[in-house]
Amino acid sequence: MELYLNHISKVYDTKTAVDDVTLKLGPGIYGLLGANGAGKTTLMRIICDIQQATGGRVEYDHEDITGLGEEYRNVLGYLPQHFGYYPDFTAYKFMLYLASLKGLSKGYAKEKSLQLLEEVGLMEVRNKKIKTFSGGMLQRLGIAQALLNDPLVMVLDEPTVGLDPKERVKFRNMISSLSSDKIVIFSTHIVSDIEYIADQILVMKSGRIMHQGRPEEITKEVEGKVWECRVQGKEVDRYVAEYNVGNLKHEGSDTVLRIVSDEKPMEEAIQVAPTLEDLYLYYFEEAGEEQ
Amino acid sequence: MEEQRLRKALRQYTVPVPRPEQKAMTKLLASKALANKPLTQGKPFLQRLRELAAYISPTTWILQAMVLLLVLSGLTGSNGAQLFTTFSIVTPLLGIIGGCELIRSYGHNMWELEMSCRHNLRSIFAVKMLILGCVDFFVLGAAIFITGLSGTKFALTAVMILVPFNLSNSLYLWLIVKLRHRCTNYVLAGTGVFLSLIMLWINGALNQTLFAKIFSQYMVAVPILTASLVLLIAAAAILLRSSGKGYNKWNYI
Repeated sequence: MELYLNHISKVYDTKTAVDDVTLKLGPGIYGLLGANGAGKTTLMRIICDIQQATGGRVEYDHEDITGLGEEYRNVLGYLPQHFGYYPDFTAYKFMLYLASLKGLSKGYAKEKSLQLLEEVGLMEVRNKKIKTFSGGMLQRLGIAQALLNDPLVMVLDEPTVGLDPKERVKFRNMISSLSSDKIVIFSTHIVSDIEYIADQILVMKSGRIMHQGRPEEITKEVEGKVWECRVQGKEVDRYVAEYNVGNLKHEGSDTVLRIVSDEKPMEEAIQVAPTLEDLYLYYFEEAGEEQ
Repeated sequence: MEEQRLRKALRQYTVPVPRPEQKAMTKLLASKALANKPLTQGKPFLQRLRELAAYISPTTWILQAMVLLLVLSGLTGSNGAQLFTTFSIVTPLLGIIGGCELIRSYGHNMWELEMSCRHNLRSIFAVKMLILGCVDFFVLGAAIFITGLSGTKFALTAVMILVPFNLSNSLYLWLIVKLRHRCTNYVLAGTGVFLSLIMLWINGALNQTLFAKIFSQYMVAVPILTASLVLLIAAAAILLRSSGKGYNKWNYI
């Protein structure tokens, strides 16, 4: 099973949302890391055959997904970033509706819907209208519907938004248990989600995939660029304004700054081992400055 | 000899012919197993129609029924010319209700999820249109039949009703495809009212309305002529779009 993104591009008038992306994805979990406007959602929509690419094609097992049509959507599970619902539907009715659209038989749809609602902790509210749900409950419902047809390709756009830490742990465990025979692609701003469960990380910036690799390989990009500095109270603001500060911790009269910088920020700065969050800051803090 | 021995041995392993009740039980168990199978090879179209009809908003059915009852109630005590006028005004408005049902997918942001399903948004639109269209067709057909009984020529009645109905629905669909999220219920309602005014004008009824009394005949005619031109362009656009690239166009944002 393989998903091949072959020179995918998407251009809106003058803006290039996805710029010549080529990826070969086998079974496993792929974390798509990027700032707002990096092109993650556009890329995911193209993978789901919702949006048409300006150039290139997506192949599933060596066949163009636009040609496969229903056959491809049969094995696809998708959770969009902005998740909609019909407010008069109950959670159970919503699951049955989507099960019907996914081509599931009635008997199986009922059983699977109840099983998934149980797994995501919405069994007790299954007959309540979705408009009464909180953000976290809505997100869990979205995850449940994505799993209805036991998809082989799962595309989750910001799936952990609105979930509390306990729910995020549950979600991570759920995804980890699926990955052995599926291609799971998910995007998030929460770096720890990617760090804990992703087999491979795809770093996306300005429509391009900057890096692809395992978390420990990716963080080598910022090796030698992460520093810890101990500064006095008055100088904190100056360093915060001048450098990319990842963390700020007060220790008595001093403040310990974790700085991501190409050059040593001060004489007494100590080099420390980089994390994925440092990588994110290194790449996307630059994008923020450019904006 | 050897062959005979072999034949004799093999005959011992012949499967007995199943009895009718055994066959029936096997079929029953197989159908139960199939019902519990996750993915169907392909649902019968009627089954899909039935399943999706259950998810059409009750408000849509209520509004549909109200408008149709209004049309049918207008039939009583009306002569031929008044019937034409009534139908001509109402048929563009009938399509608004169906159009509003279709754009619920955009209005409630369900279009992304529906597009990614096996029976995707294009299929959902088609099935909903078929369901609502069939209901409208049967009721309008009954209305035509009734007017036919009152002595009005059947073909002329059908043209006066079905042409504005189909043209207005084509325009609504074009607006939905073109505008997508921006196509709200107000856009469809406004378009429908405008089309009704055109039909009033064509029937010669507009000149007698208050609107015509306030504005001169030329001022009334200009927007209506413009609207007629827009309708023609919309029809041409719809015909040009049906060039066989339908699948990709639906998935194009």
